Amino acid sequence: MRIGFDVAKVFGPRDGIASYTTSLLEVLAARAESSGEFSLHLYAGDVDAGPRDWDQALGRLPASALRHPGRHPDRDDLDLFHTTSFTDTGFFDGPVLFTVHDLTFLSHPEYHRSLNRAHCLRSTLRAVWQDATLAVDSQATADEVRRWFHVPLERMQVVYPAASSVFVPLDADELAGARRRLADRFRLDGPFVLSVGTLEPRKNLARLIEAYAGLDPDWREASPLVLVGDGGWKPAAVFSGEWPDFARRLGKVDEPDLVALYNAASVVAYPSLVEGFGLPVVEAMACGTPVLTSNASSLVEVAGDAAVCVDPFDVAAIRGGLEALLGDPSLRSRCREAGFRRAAGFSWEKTADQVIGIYRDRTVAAPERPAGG
Amino acid sequence: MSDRAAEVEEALFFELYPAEVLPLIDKLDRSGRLTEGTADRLRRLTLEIRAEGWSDQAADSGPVVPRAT
Repeated sequence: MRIGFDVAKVFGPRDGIASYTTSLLEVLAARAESSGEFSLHLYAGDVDAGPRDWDQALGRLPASALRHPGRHPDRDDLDLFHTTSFTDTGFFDGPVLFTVHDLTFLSHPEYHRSLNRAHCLRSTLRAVWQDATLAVDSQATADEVRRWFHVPLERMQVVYPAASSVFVPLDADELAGARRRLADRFRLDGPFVLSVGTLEPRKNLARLIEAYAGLDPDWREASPLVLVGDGGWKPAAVFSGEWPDFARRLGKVDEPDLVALYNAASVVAYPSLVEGFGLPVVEAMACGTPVLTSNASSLVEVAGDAAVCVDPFDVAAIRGGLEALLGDPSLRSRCREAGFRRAAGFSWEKTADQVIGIYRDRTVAAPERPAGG
Repeated sequence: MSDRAAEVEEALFFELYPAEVLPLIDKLDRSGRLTEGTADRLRRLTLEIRAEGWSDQAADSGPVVPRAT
Protein backbone atom coordinates (compact mmCIF):
# COMPACT_ATOMS: atom_id res chain seq x y z
CA MET A 1 0.00 0.00 0.00
CA ARG A 2 1.22 3.48 -0.84
CA ILE A 3 -0.06 5.79 1.91
CA GLY A 4 0.14 9.56 1.59
CA PHE A 5 0.34 11.33 4.92
CA ASP A 6 -0.29 15.04 5.38
CA VAL A 7 2.50 16.68 7.38
CA ALA A 8 1.62 20.31 6.67
CA LYS A 9 0.87 21.05 10.33
CA VAL A 10 4.17 19.83 11.72
CA PHE A 11 5.86 22.90 10.27
CA GLY A 12 3.63 25.33 12.17
CA PRO A 13 3.11 26.10 15.85
CA ARG A 14 3.33 23.09 18.17
CA ASP A 15 -0.41 22.94 18.83
CA GLY A 16 -2.60 19.93 19.57
CA ILE A 17 -2.94 18.90 15.92
CA ALA A 18 0.81 19.17 15.33
CA SER A 19 1.45 17.07 18.42
CA TYR A 20 -1.13 14.48 17.32
CA THR A 21 0.31 14.31 13.82
CA THR A 22 3.87 13.90 15.00
CA SER A 23 3.01 11.21 17.56
CA LEU A 24 1.00 9.14 15.10
CA LEU A 25 3.48 9.60 12.30
CA GLU A 26 6.37 8.32 14.39
CA VAL A 27 4.56 5.06 15.12
CA LEU A 28 3.31 4.68 11.55
CA ALA A 29 6.78 5.26 10.11
CA ALA A 30 8.25 2.63 12.42
CA ARG A 31 5.49 0.18 11.41
CA ALA A 32 6.03 0.87 7.71
CA GLU A 33 9.75 0.27 8.17
CA SER A 34 9.39 -2.94 10.18
CA SER A 35 6.45 -4.58 8.43
CA GLY A 36 6.97 -3.52 4.83
CA GLU A 37 3.19 -3.72 4.51
CA PHE A 38 2.90 -0.13 3.36
CA SER A 39 5.09 2.74 2.27
CA LEU A 40 4.65 6.16 3.79
CA HIS A 41 4.77 9.24 1.57
CA LEU A 42 4.88 12.62 3.31
CA TYR A 43 3.25 15.68 1.75
CA ALA A 44 2.98 19.24 3.00
CA GLY A 45 1.12 20.64 0.00
CA ASP A 46 2.10 24.21 -0.70
CA VAL A 47 3.49 24.86 2.78
CA ASP A 48 6.61 26.97 2.41
CA ALA A 49 9.15 24.70 4.14
CA GLY A 50 12.73 24.22 3.03
CA PRO A 51 14.95 21.15 3.41
CA ARG A 52 16.17 22.31 6.83
CA ASP A 53 12.58 22.69 8.04
CA TRP A 54 11.86 19.14 6.87
CA ASP A 55 14.97 17.84 8.61
CA GLN A 56 14.11 19.66 11.81
CA ALA A 57 10.48 18.55 11.85
CA LEU A 58 10.86 15.02 10.50
CA GLY A 59 14.52 14.14 10.88
CA ARG A 60 13.79 11.42 13.41
CA LEU A 61 11.75 9.41 10.94
CA PRO A 62 13.35 6.54 9.05
CA ALA A 63 14.55 7.27 5.53
CA SER A 64 11.90 4.90 4.20
CA ALA A 65 9.30 7.60 4.98
CA LEU A 66 9.53 9.35 1.62
CA ARG A 67 9.38 13.11 1.46
CA HIS A 68 7.53 14.97 -1.30
CA PRO A 69 7.94 18.68 -0.54
CA GLY A 70 6.18 21.40 -2.43
CA ARG A 71 3.30 19.53 -3.99
CA HIS A 72 0.09 17.61 -3.51
CA PRO A 73 -0.14 13.96 -4.52
CA ASP A 74 -1.90 12.74 -7.63
CA ARG A 75 -4.20 9.72 -7.71
CA ASP A 76 -1.55 7.68 -9.49
CA ASP A 77 0.98 8.35 -6.71
CA LEU A 78 -0.97 6.74 -3.88
CA ASP A 79 -3.53 4.18 -2.79
CA LEU A 80 -4.85 6.40 0.02
CA PHE A 81 -4.27 9.88 1.42
CA HIS A 82 -4.55 10.54 5.16
CA THR A 83 -4.86 13.97 6.75
CA THR A 84 -4.97 14.67 10.47
CA SER A 85 -4.91 18.44 9.93
CA PHE A 86 -8.27 19.40 8.41
CA THR A 87 -6.58 19.80 5.04
CA ASP A 88 -8.93 20.21 2.09
CA THR A 89 -8.36 16.97 0.16
CA GLY A 90 -10.15 18.11 -2.97
CA PHE A 91 -6.87 17.71 -4.88
CA PHE A 92 -6.87 13.91 -4.38
CA ASP A 93 -9.13 11.73 -6.46
CA GLY A 94 -8.77 8.52 -4.43
CA PRO A 95 -9.62 7.05 -1.01
CA VAL A 96 -9.15 9.49 1.85
CA LEU A 97 -8.84 9.01 5.58
CA PHE A 98 -9.84 12.24 7.29
CA THR A 99 -9.18 12.54 11.01
CA VAL A 100 -11.81 14.69 12.74
CA HIS A 101 -10.52 16.00 16.05
CA ASP A 102 -13.77 17.80 16.82
CA LEU A 103 -16.62 19.69 15.18
CA THR A 104 -16.59 22.65 17.55
CA PHE A 105 -16.10 24.96 14.57
CA LEU A 106 -19.71 23.98 13.74
CA SER A 107 -21.24 23.41 17.16
CA HIS A 108 -19.45 26.29 18.94
CA PRO A 109 -18.30 28.72 16.22
CA GLU A 110 -17.87 31.47 18.78
CA TYR A 111 -14.76 29.67 20.09
CA HIS A 112 -12.90 29.84 16.79
CA ARG A 113 -11.22 32.39 14.59
CA SER A 114 -13.16 32.87 11.38
CA LEU A 115 -10.18 31.77 9.27
CA ASN A 116 -9.93 28.50 11.19
CA ARG A 117 -13.69 27.96 10.89
CA ALA A 118 -13.49 28.57 7.16
CA HIS A 119 -10.75 26.01 6.58
CA CYS A 120 -12.24 23.35 8.88
CA LEU A 121 -15.74 23.72 7.43
CA ARG A 122 -14.60 23.53 3.81
CA SER A 123 -12.31 20.55 4.36
CA THR A 124 -14.90 18.62 6.37
CA LEU A 125 -17.61 19.18 3.77
CA ARG A 126 -15.20 18.04 1.07
CA ALA A 127 -14.30 14.92 3.06
CA VAL A 128 -17.97 13.98 3.45
CA TRP A 129 -18.54 14.57 -0.27
CA GLN A 130 -15.52 12.40 -1.12
CA ASP A 131 -16.86 9.55 1.02
CA ALA A 132 -13.74 9.77 3.12
CA THR A 133 -13.46 7.50 6.10
CA LEU A 134 -13.70 9.68 9.20
CA ALA A 135 -11.45 8.80 12.13
CA VAL A 136 -12.92 10.66 15.09
CA ASP A 137 -11.11 11.30 18.36
CA SER A 138 -13.97 10.25 20.64
CA GLN A 139 -17.49 8.87 20.74
CA ALA A 140 -18.65 12.38 21.65
CA THR A 141 -17.20 13.62 18.37
CA ALA A 142 -18.80 10.71 16.49
CA ASP A 143 -22.16 11.69 17.99
CA GLU A 144 -21.59 15.28 16.93
CA VAL A 145 -20.74 14.19 13.37
CA ARG A 146 -24.04 12.30 13.19
CA ARG A 147 -25.94 15.39 14.30
CA TRP A 148 -24.74 17.11 11.11
CA PHE A 149 -24.03 14.42 8.53
CA HIS A 150 -25.40 11.11 7.35
CA VAL A 151 -22.21 9.06 7.38
CA PRO A 152 -22.44 5.31 6.72
CA LEU A 153 -21.37 3.15 9.65
CA GLU A 154 -18.40 1.76 7.76
CA ARG A 155 -17.16 5.27 7.01
CA MET A 156 -16.58 6.38 10.60
CA GLN A 157 -14.49 4.94 13.42
CA VAL A 158 -13.59 6.22 16.88
CA VAL A 159 -9.79 6.27 16.95
CA TYR A 160 -8.60 7.55 20.30
CA PRO A 161 -5.31 9.41 20.49
CA ALA A 162 -2.99 9.04 23.49
CA ALA A 163 -0.44 10.83 25.58
CA SER A 164 3.04 10.96 24.17
CA SER A 165 5.40 8.41 25.71
CA VAL A 166 7.40 11.25 27.30
CA PHE A 167 4.64 11.72 29.87
CA VAL A 168 5.62 9.32 32.65
CA PRO A 169 5.78 9.50 36.43
CA LEU A 170 9.19 10.63 37.67
CA ASP A 171 10.94 8.73 40.45
CA ALA A 172 11.96 10.57 43.62
CA ASP A 173 15.36 11.70 42.33
CA GLU A 174 13.93 12.77 38.99
CA LEU A 175 11.13 14.63 40.72
CA ALA A 176 13.60 16.49 42.93
CA GLY A 177 15.48 17.47 39.78
CA ALA A 178 12.25 18.55 38.12
CA ARG A 179 11.39 20.75 41.09
CA ARG A 180 14.82 22.39 40.94
CA ARG A 181 14.32 22.98 37.23
CA LEU A 182 10.94 24.63 37.82
CA ALA A 183 12.37 26.77 40.63
CA ASP A 184 15.24 27.93 38.42
CA ARG A 185 13.22 28.56 35.31
CA PHE A 186 9.88 29.76 36.65
CA ARG A 187 10.47 30.54 40.37
CA LEU A 188 8.04 27.75 41.22
CA ASP A 189 9.24 26.25 44.47
CA GLY A 190 6.10 25.02 46.20
CA PRO A 191 2.77 23.35 45.48
CA PHE A 192 0.68 24.59 42.60
CA VAL A 193 -2.33 23.73 40.49
CA LEU A 194 -1.62 23.40 36.78
CA SER A 195 -3.77 24.31 33.79
CA VAL A 196 -2.55 23.34 30.32
CA GLY A 197 -4.07 24.61 27.09
CA THR A 198 -4.16 27.46 24.64
CA LEU A 199 -5.39 30.61 26.34
CA GLU A 200 -8.70 30.88 24.52
CA PRO A 201 -12.32 31.22 25.63
CA ARG A 202 -13.13 27.53 25.13
CA LYS A 203 -10.71 26.56 27.91
CA ASN A 204 -12.93 28.28 30.48
CA LEU A 205 -10.09 29.96 32.34
CA ALA A 206 -12.26 32.82 33.55
CA ARG A 207 -14.40 30.42 35.61
CA LEU A 208 -11.35 28.49 36.77
CA ILE A 209 -9.75 31.71 38.00
CA GLU A 210 -12.99 32.77 39.68
CA ALA A 211 -13.21 29.38 41.37
CA TYR A 212 -9.59 29.59 42.46
CA ALA A 213 -10.20 33.04 43.91
CA GLY A 214 -12.77 31.43 46.21
CA LEU A 215 -10.33 28.94 47.73
CA ASP A 216 -8.89 29.36 51.20
CA PRO A 217 -6.67 32.49 51.05
CA ASP A 218 -3.79 30.76 52.85
CA TRP A 219 -3.74 28.00 50.23
CA ARG A 220 -4.08 30.45 47.37
CA GLU A 221 -1.26 32.55 48.76
CA ALA A 222 1.12 29.61 48.90
CA SER A 223 -0.02 27.79 45.78
CA PRO A 224 -0.33 29.61 42.48
CA LEU A 225 -2.56 28.57 39.64
CA VAL A 226 -0.02 27.97 36.87
CA LEU A 227 -1.29 28.48 33.32
CA VAL A 228 0.67 26.93 30.47
CA GLY A 229 -0.11 27.54 26.82
CA ASP A 230 0.06 29.92 23.93
CA GLY A 231 -2.34 32.81 24.01
CA GLY A 232 -3.42 35.66 21.88
CA TRP A 233 -6.94 35.12 20.64
CA LYS A 234 -9.79 37.09 22.22
CA PRO A 235 -7.81 37.84 25.40
CA ALA A 236 -10.71 39.83 26.80
CA ALA A 237 -12.93 36.77 26.50
CA VAL A 238 -10.34 34.52 28.18
CA PHE A 239 -10.26 36.70 31.25
CA SER A 240 -11.62 40.22 31.29
CA GLY A 241 -10.39 41.51 34.65
CA GLU A 242 -6.95 42.25 35.97
CA TRP A 243 -5.01 39.00 36.24
CA PRO A 244 -4.81 38.10 39.93
CA ASP A 245 -1.43 37.53 41.56
CA PHE A 246 -2.17 33.84 42.12
CA ALA A 247 -2.54 33.20 38.36
CA ARG A 248 0.93 32.67 36.92
CA ARG A 249 1.09 32.59 33.11
CA LEU A 250 4.14 30.75 31.82
CA GLY A 251 3.18 30.88 28.14
CA LYS A 252 4.34 28.03 25.97
CA VAL A 253 6.88 25.70 27.58
CA ASP A 254 9.09 23.02 26.09
CA GLU A 255 8.35 19.33 26.52
CA PRO A 256 10.79 18.59 29.39
CA ASP A 257 9.35 21.54 31.32
CA LEU A 258 5.83 20.29 30.68
CA VAL A 259 6.70 16.82 31.97
CA ALA A 260 8.23 18.45 35.07
CA LEU A 261 5.16 20.64 35.57
CA TYR A 262 2.71 17.73 35.28
CA ASN A 263 4.73 15.69 37.76
CA ALA A 264 5.22 18.47 40.28
CA ALA A 265 1.64 19.80 40.22
CA SER A 266 -0.71 18.97 43.08
CA VAL A 267 -3.65 18.86 40.70
CA VAL A 268 -4.22 19.48 36.99
CA ALA A 269 -7.37 21.52 36.34
CA TYR A 270 -8.89 21.28 32.86
CA PRO A 271 -12.52 22.42 33.08
CA SER A 272 -12.79 23.09 29.33
CA LEU A 273 -16.23 23.88 27.92
CA VAL A 274 -15.97 21.52 24.97
CA GLU A 275 -13.30 19.26 23.50
CA GLY A 276 -12.97 16.54 20.90
CA PHE A 277 -10.71 14.49 23.16
CA GLY A 278 -8.71 16.27 25.89
CA LEU A 279 -5.03 15.35 25.68
CA PRO A 280 -4.00 17.21 28.87
CA VAL A 281 -6.26 14.87 30.85
CA VAL A 282 -4.41 11.73 29.76
CA GLU A 283 -1.02 13.44 29.86
CA ALA A 284 -1.60 14.37 33.51
CA MET A 285 -2.90 10.89 34.31
CA ALA A 286 0.12 9.30 32.66
CA CYS A 287 2.29 11.36 34.99
CA GLY A 288 0.27 10.30 38.03
CA THR A 289 -1.28 13.68 38.76
CA PRO A 290 -4.92 13.94 39.90
CA VAL A 291 -7.21 15.68 37.42
CA LEU A 292 -10.21 17.92 37.69
CA THR A 293 -12.08 18.20 34.42
CA SER A 294 -15.52 18.77 32.90
CA ASN A 295 -18.44 16.42 32.93
CA ALA A 296 -19.18 17.48 29.34
CA SER A 297 -18.34 16.59 25.73
CA SER A 298 -15.48 14.10 25.31
CA LEU A 299 -13.85 14.90 28.64
CA VAL A 300 -16.02 12.69 30.80
CA GLU A 301 -15.57 9.89 28.25
CA VAL A 302 -11.78 10.26 28.37
CA ALA A 303 -11.53 10.72 32.13
CA GLY A 304 -13.87 7.85 33.01
CA ASP A 305 -14.00 7.41 36.78
CA ALA A 306 -10.36 8.42 37.20
CA ALA A 307 -10.91 12.16 37.64
CA VAL A 308 -13.15 14.58 39.46
CA CYS A 309 -15.62 15.75 36.82
CA VAL A 310 -17.65 18.91 37.35
CA ASP A 311 -20.08 21.16 35.50
CA PRO A 312 -17.73 23.57 33.71
CA PHE A 313 -20.33 26.35 33.72
CA ASP A 314 -20.71 26.20 37.52
CA VAL A 315 -17.97 28.14 39.33
CA ALA A 316 -19.01 26.71 42.69
CA ALA A 317 -18.72 23.18 41.30
CA ILE A 318 -15.22 23.88 39.99
CA ARG A 319 -14.22 25.34 43.34
CA GLY A 320 -15.78 22.37 45.15
CA GLY A 321 -13.86 19.94 42.97
CA LEU A 322 -10.60 21.73 43.63
CA GLU A 323 -11.27 21.80 47.39
CA ALA A 324 -12.07 18.09 47.38
CA LEU A 325 -8.87 17.19 45.55
CA LEU A 326 -6.60 19.57 47.42
CA GLY A 327 -8.06 18.73 50.83
CA ASP A 328 -8.36 14.96 50.61
CA PRO A 329 -5.12 12.96 50.23
CA SER A 330 -7.03 9.69 49.86
CA LEU A 331 -9.03 11.10 46.92
CA ARG A 332 -5.82 12.27 45.27
CA SER A 333 -4.33 8.82 45.80
CA ARG A 334 -7.37 7.11 44.27
CA CYS A 335 -7.31 9.47 41.29
CA ARG A 336 -3.58 8.87 40.85
CA GLU A 337 -3.94 5.08 40.73
CA ALA A 338 -7.07 5.13 38.61
CA GLY A 339 -5.44 7.72 36.34
CA PHE A 340 -2.49 5.46 35.60
CA ARG A 341 -4.87 2.66 34.58
CA ARG A 342 -6.99 5.03 32.51
CA ALA A 343 -4.04 6.58 30.65
CA ALA A 344 -2.61 3.13 29.94
CA GLY A 345 -5.80 2.35 28.01
CA PHE A 346 -4.79 4.89 25.38
CA SER A 347 -1.64 4.33 23.35
CA TRP A 348 -0.31 5.45 20.00
CA GLU A 349 0.37 1.80 19.17
CA LYS A 350 -3.37 1.12 19.47
CA THR A 351 -4.11 4.25 17.47
CA ALA A 352 -1.74 3.08 14.73
CA ASP A 353 -3.31 -0.42 14.75
CA GLN A 354 -6.70 1.08 13.99
CA VAL A 355 -5.38 3.51 11.41
CA ILE A 356 -3.51 0.78 9.55
CA GLY A 357 -6.68 -1.32 9.66
CA ILE A 358 -8.50 1.52 7.91
CA TYR A 359 -5.70 1.79 5.36
CA ARG A 360 -6.18 -1.93 4.59
CA ASP A 361 -9.97 -1.71 4.37
CA ARG A 362 -9.99 1.32 2.11
CA THR A 363 -7.31 0.13 -0.26
CA VAL A 364 -8.78 -3.34 -0.72
CA ALA A 365 -12.04 -2.05 -2.12
CA ALA A 366 -11.88 1.56 -3.23
CA PRO A 367 -15.41 2.65 -4.23
CA GLU A 368 -16.38 4.84 -7.12
CA ARG A 369 -16.19 8.51 -6.23
CA PRO A 370 -18.73 11.11 -7.22
CA ALA A 371 -17.60 13.30 -10.07
CA GLY A 372 -16.47 16.84 -9.37
CA GLY A 373 -16.38 18.47 -5.97
CA MET B 1 4.90 37.51 1.15
CA SER B 2 4.57 40.93 2.77
CA ASP B 3 2.10 41.53 5.59
CA ARG B 4 0.09 43.72 3.28
CA ALA B 5 -0.04 41.06 0.58
CA ALA B 6 -1.06 38.46 3.16
CA GLU B 7 -3.88 40.73 4.34
CA VAL B 8 -5.11 41.22 0.79
CA GLU B 9 -4.97 37.49 0.16
CA GLU B 10 -6.93 36.79 3.33
CA ALA B 11 -9.53 39.40 2.41
CA LEU B 12 -10.01 37.86 -1.01
CA PHE B 13 -10.23 34.42 0.57
CA PHE B 14 -13.20 35.50 2.69
CA GLU B 15 -14.88 37.28 -0.20
CA LEU B 16 -14.64 34.25 -2.47
CA TYR B 17 -15.38 31.72 0.25
CA PRO B 18 -19.18 31.48 -0.15
CA ALA B 19 -18.87 30.99 -3.91
CA GLU B 20 -16.70 27.98 -3.23
CA VAL B 21 -18.53 26.43 -0.30
CA LEU B 22 -22.22 27.08 -0.96
CA PRO B 23 -22.30 24.86 -4.09
CA LEU B 24 -20.65 22.10 -2.06
CA ILE B 25 -23.36 22.41 0.58
CA ASP B 26 -25.99 22.19 -2.17
CA LYS B 27 -24.42 19.02 -3.57
CA LEU B 28 -24.25 17.42 -0.13
CA ASP B 29 -27.85 18.38 0.52
CA ARG B 30 -29.08 16.95 -2.76
CA SER B 31 -27.16 13.72 -2.20
CA GLY B 32 -28.81 13.19 1.19
CA ARG B 33 -25.65 13.46 3.26
CA LEU B 34 -26.87 16.24 5.54
CA THR B 35 -29.22 15.76 8.46
CA GLU B 36 -32.45 17.72 8.56
CA GLY B 37 -31.90 21.45 8.90
CA THR B 38 -28.15 21.16 8.45
CA ALA B 39 -28.02 22.66 4.96
CA ASP B 40 -29.57 25.91 6.15
CA ARG B 41 -27.30 26.03 9.19
CA LEU B 42 -24.24 25.47 7.04
CA ARG B 43 -25.28 28.17 4.58
CA ARG B 44 -25.80 30.59 7.47
CA LEU B 45 -22.42 29.68 8.99
CA THR B 46 -20.73 30.18 5.62
CA LEU B 47 -22.09 33.68 5.27
CA GLU B 48 -21.20 34.45 8.89
CA ILE B 49 -17.65 33.35 8.23
CA ARG B 50 -17.36 35.82 5.38
CA ALA B 51 -18.84 38.66 7.44
CA GLU B 52 -16.75 37.85 10.51
CA GLY B 53 -13.62 37.44 8.44
CA TRP B 54 -14.06 41.01 7.38
CA SER B 55 -14.75 42.26 10.88
CA ASP B 56 -11.79 40.25 12.30
CA GLN B 57 -9.56 41.91 9.79
CA ALA B 58 -11.01 45.34 10.45
CA ALA B 59 -10.44 44.85 14.16
CA ASP B 60 -6.83 43.86 13.53
CA SER B 61 -5.69 46.33 10.94
CA GLY B 62 -8.53 48.01 9.12
CA PRO B 63 -10.07 46.90 5.85
CA VAL B 64 -7.54 46.49 3.09
CA VAL B 65 -9.86 45.77 0.19
CA PRO B 66 -13.12 47.57 -0.51
CA ARG B 67 -15.94 45.31 0.48
CA ALA B 68 -18.06 43.96 -2.33
CA THR B 69 -21.71 44.90 -1.95
